[in-house]
Amino acid sequence: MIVASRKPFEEIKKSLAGYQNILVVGCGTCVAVCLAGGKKEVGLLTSQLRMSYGLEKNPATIAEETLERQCDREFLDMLRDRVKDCDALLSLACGAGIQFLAEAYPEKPVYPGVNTTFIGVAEAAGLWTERCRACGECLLAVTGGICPRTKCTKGLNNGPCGGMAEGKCEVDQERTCAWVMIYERLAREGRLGQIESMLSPVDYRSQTRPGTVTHRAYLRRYHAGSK
Amino acid sequence: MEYTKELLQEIGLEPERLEMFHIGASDAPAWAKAVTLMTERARSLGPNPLKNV
Amino acid sequence: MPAPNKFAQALDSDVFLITCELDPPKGMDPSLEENKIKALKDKVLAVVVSDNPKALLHMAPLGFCRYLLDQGCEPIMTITCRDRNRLAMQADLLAAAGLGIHNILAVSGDYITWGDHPGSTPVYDLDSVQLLWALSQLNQNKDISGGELLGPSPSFVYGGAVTLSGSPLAPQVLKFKKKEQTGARFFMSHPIFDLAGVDEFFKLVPEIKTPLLATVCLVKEEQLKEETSGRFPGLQIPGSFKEKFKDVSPGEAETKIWDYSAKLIAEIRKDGRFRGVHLMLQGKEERIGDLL
Repeated sequence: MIVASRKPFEEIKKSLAGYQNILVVGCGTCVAVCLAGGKKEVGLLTSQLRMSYGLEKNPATIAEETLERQCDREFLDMLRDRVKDCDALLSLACGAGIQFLAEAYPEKPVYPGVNTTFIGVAEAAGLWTERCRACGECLLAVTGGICPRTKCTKGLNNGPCGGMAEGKCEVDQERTCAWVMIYERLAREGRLGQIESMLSPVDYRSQTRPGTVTHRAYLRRYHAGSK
Repeated sequence: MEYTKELLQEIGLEPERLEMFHIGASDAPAWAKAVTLMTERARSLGPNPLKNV
Repeated sequence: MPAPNKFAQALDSDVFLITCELDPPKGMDPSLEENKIKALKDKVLAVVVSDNPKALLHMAPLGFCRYLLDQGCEPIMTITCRDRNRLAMQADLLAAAGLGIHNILAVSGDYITWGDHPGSTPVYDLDSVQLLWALSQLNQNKDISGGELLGPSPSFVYGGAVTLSGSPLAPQVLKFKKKEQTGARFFMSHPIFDLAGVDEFFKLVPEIKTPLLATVCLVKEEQLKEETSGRFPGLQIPGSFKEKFKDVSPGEAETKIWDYSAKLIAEIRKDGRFRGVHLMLQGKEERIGDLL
C-alpha cells in the first residue's frame, strides 16, 4: 500500500493560517492502514487544531469528514455540499488523493496534511518499510522476489557493492544487503545462473513522469496505444 | 500515553496535565494518591486554558 | 592507436606494480597538490586519482589527471557511478581519452549521504559492472546504445575494484567474475590488513588471470579506535588488526602503523598471488618514501 506519515503539527498550522472555515478530509484506505490519515487520525488532528486555536482565541472552525478513498471521483463528489461552506481543505490522503481532491474542487485551496513516502508493507505494528519503486519493469523473476531497485540503497543491478560489510548495507548497518539476500535466495532455489551474467542498465523510459496506464480492454475508448 | 502527551505538547499544552494510572477497583489508597498527585499538578500548572472552549 | 602508456606496458610485463591514491584539491587550482605529486611521481608507476571520494566535493578527476600528465605523472582516473548518468559518463570518458587519459578505474562509489552534499540525487544510472562493459564498448568505438563513434577509437586500460575478504564472500566472487567477463585489464582490492584474510577468496577463485593489486591503506590513529564498520565507507579494519595496536601509546601508534604497512607491502611482494600493491595514504602522500 501507499505509506505516508502525518506532517509536523506546526507545518500544518502554518498552511492553515488565516482561514476561517477549514474542512479536514481523511481517507479510509492506505493512509488509514498506516495510521496517518484515516478517520481516527482526522479526529485527533481536528481536536488538536481546535484546542490550539482555542488557546490562541482563534475563532476559526474545523470540520471533519473521512472518505472511503480520495483517488476515485465517486467518493470525492460526496463532499460537494460540505465544501461549499469552507474556505480551505486539508487532506490527509496520499499525494495522489490530495491532488485529485484539488482537481475536484478547483475553487478551494487544498493543503496536504501528510508526507507520502513509498509503496510498502506492514513490517510490524506501527512499522512500515518500502518494497517497490514502481519502476514499470518488474524484474522480481530474475532476482528471486527481492527488488534491488528498492532494497539496495544504490539501486544496483549487479551487486553487491564494495561497501557491503558482514552482509550489511554500507549505508545502514542494521539492514542486510539486498544483493546478499538475492544471492542467498537464488542459491537456495538453484537459480544463481540468472545473475551470473551482467544485468543490463535500467530503461528509465518506463518511469517517465507522469505515468499513465490504460487497461487493454479500454484502449479503443481512450485512443491509446498500449503502455 | 506517551504519544498522546506528545500530541498535547505539539499544540502547546503541558503534557503533565494527562496521566494514566493502573488502579485495582478496590485499591482506595492508590486512588487517593493518584487524585492528590493530579490535584497538586493542576494547582501548580494553573487552570486549563481551554476550560471554556 | 596510440602507443601503450607506462601503466599498460607494465601490466603486460612481469614488473611488480606500485600505484598510489591521490585526491584532487577541493578547489580550482591543481597546483595545491604540487608537493604530493612531486613526491609520488618517481616512486610509483601511476597515481590513482579519486572521484569525489566519500561523496565529498573535489575537483573532477578529468581535469586533475590532465594536470598530472602535464607534470610528467601517469594517472589512473577513477570514475564512480554515483554522480553521473550513462550519457555523462561516456561523454567524460571520451573527453578523458581526448586529453590523453587512458587508464580508468571504474567503481560504484560511496553513497551520497557520506559526503558534503547529502541531499543530492544518488545517480547510479550504471553500476560498476555495466560501467566496465561500457568501457569495453567505447574501446570498439561504439557507445552503449550501439551507435558508432567518429574518429580514432579510444583504447582505455580499464579495471575495477574487488573485495577479497569479509562475509559472505560468495556474492563478491560472483560479482568479480562478472567484472572479469567485461575484459577488465586490472583489479584493485579493497584495503587488506593481513594475507590470511584473503585465503578464502583465493580458494573460491583459484585462478585469477587478470593482474590484481592488493590495496594497503595507511590507517589513521583515530580510525583504529573507532568502530570502523559503518564509519568509513569501503574501509573494514578487522578486529585482529586493531588488537595489534591495543596497548600502544598515542604518538607511538603512527610509527607502528607505518612499520606494519611497510612489512605488509614486503609480504605482498613475495606472496605470488598479487601483481602489485596500491597505496592509500590518506593525506600522507608526501611521506611515501618512508614506506617504500
